[in-house]
Amino acid sequence: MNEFLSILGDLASGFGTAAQPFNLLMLLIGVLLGLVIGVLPGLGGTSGVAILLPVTVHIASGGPGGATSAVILLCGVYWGALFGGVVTSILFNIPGEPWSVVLLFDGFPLAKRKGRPGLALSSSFLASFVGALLATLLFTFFSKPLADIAIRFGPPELFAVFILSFTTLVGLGAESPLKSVMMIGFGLLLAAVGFDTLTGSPRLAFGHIEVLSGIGFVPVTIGLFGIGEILASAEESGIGHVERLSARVGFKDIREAFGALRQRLHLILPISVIGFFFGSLPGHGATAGSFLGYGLARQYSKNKADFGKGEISGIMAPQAAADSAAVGSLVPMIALGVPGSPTSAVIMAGLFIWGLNPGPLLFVEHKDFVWGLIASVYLGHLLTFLICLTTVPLLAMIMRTPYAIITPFIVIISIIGAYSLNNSLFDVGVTVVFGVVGYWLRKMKYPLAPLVVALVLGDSTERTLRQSLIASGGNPLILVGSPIAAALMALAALMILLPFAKSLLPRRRTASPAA
Amino acid sequence: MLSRRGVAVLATALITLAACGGGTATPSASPSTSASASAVTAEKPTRPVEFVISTAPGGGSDTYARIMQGVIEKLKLSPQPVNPVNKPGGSGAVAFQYVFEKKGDMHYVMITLNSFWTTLITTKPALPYKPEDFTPIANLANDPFFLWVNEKSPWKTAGDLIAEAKNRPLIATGTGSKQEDEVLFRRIQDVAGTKAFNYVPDDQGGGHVATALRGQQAGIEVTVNNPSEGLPGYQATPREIRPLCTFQPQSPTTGPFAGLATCKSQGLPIDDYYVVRAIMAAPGLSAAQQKFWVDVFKGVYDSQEWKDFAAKNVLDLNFVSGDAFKKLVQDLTKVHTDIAQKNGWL
Repeated sequence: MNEFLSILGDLASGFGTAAQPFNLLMLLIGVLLGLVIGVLPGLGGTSGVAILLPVTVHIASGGPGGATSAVILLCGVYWGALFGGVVTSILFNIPGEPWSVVLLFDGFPLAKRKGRPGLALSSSFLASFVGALLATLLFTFFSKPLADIAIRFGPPELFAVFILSFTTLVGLGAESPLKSVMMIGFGLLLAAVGFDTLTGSPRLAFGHIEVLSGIGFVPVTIGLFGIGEILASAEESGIGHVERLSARVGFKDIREAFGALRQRLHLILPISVIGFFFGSLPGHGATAGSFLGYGLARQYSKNKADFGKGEISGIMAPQAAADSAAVGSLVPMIALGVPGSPTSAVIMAGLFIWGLNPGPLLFVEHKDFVWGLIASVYLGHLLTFLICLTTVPLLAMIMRTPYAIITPFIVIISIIGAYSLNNSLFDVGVTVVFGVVGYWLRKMKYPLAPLVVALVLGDSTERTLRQSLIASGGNPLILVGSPIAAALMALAALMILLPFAKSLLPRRRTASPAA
Repeated sequence: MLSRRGVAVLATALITLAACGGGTATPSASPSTSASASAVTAEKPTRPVEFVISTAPGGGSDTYARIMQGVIEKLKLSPQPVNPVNKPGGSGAVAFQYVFEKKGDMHYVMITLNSFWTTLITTKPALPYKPEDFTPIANLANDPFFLWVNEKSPWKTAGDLIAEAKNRPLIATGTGSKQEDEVLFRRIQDVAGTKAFNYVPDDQGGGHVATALRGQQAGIEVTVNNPSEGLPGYQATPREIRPLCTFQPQSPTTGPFAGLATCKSQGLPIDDYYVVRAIMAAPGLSAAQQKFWVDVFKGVYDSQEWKDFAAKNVLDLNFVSGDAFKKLVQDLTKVHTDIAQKNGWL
């Protein structure tokens, strides 16, 4: 109880720090920049934060708020980018950020096929905000014990987590199971391309240096979904969607999104908690969290069949998970001195540059900094949420733009996005090739979701499996060797067996009266 | 009307990107102009410089590069902006190839560490150039290696650990495969005659390696982290990991690890291996162009910011340029080729 009160006291003084005019200004600038960076595909929160790092040196040494203002600015960019990434995914079917890739599954269908861009946008913003809020509360009160559990997640435990994610996604987009399996295989094959860090040798690179970085899933998804969709719609010549787009603008959509959220709180809240914990595992974070969130929502939703066709849960769940995972990724940084995501790794580099040592001593030696940062997480999300919500009507209008005008813009953004990932023309080539591949797969009715999931999770799954086996000298028992890994594996097994068990049960019942 | 507004929103967004993206993105589509006459003859950069980093943002050398860039900017050491550009992939190969292709162009400098040797020596199929082909600028610091174990470990000295390692393969982890951490472990098993370590390659950087040891993930027992990477776990209360010894010739005299025994004194005679924090430039720069960059990085080295950063991260300050640096490059090539040969990595 005493501890609880002292945390509240610290938090209050943190709000005092974060609410100073200069810090608020930094937060606002950070959030706005983050939004723009997030909207543009390719340029993610990570590069946004990295670009601003040199500027923060001056803020930390010369500004009135010191390092606290600097970190508030960088975190503002992080939150802004999280929200901004949603926009391009939903409106143009191009992922603005890695973690908004999942939004392509349901966000764009709701916006375009069902003509409800306003509803899709406000749902995702709302879910982001709720997820982040819950995560920040957990961050405030339980960061140390959570970090202590997270640090125990090594290769065997992570492998179990990935297997669990796969099981929640089984049957995704499955009209034809065979086609799904083929797409998973294709995705795993793509994931295998590049430099294998475990043996230090190139795989499937065929002597090309650029290929050593691997086939990034962002350029691939930009191609598959963004360009592929354009090619497919060119055939339909954009008929239909303009007329079908609902005439009413904006704020009603927001109200409807609130209603939708209320019906789904039982789903969104636990997913946010899981996302938060996932984010706090060192080295993982928002992207994997968003996939897990989507998979879980789909498994436990009554309207499972609507997923992939514009189901609101398919937008809210991954977005809540991604945002809570982003907040979670700050936990190991503050509590342990270990980054939880690529973006937080850059923020941590900032701490070094400003002369702070991230880690447990931070809570003792730089209390103001830590609590100012935590308070700014609350304020930052509130600010981002409000800005986003007010722009929904305006953003939704973009969808009314005649297709002939908007198409070239989407292509341009796709290309710029692919290029800006690594300033590499190779990625642009990947995007274009996968645009054609995406068009062809659509025509042949192959599901794209299993391909993307395999591409995103395949590499990490394979790596953690091999790392575990190297550590154990080849003994597979290590995969269930720790209580955590064993429990997660059991859960995964349950996820696979449950549908079978369910399908067996009614049959038995019908059989028994006859007997 | 509405459609125009939509377009305007997009256009604004794009312009803003161009403005703030200026930091990283760059002399994009101009390989032809980059090799232009003016660039070759000038003794100072005439357009923004790319400071190439072989890791992703937030990775080890990324932090170093960004600190250096901050100092260059603050002290106005270069007449043109120096922009960090990340080219991760292939344990550095992607970055090396990128800079190698900028032959004779002084607008490309690169921060390197030992991967510059390990990757160039062990990558198969072999890369068409050697470490000596790049224009050497300077080394700014040596980042020492310590031998770390979990606080719960029974071993008090390197000798205890070696004795156990002769009985059974210990589980070790480090950054990458055939990179500096593994090189050091293989040297240990070579020098001390232990069983081969079960070396688990980690791909998330040194900080993550130290974390794996803190959490004893997958049964990991020993690492060779740099001091700064191990610091958070060492300073945690209660303490989670501790160094047994340092691979430096002498014990550190200041900082949080003052008085730490040398590995040599504990029966593990390796005292010549450390991570270099060095700068290389595109191949074939003129002497004057090379001097320009040596002066810039000497300026960085002499700054208070760099000294503070080095103290905080327990780096050995060690500025080496000119012929001495050329020799260092050759020596490191020899050390790494030697260990690669012994382990059949070639």
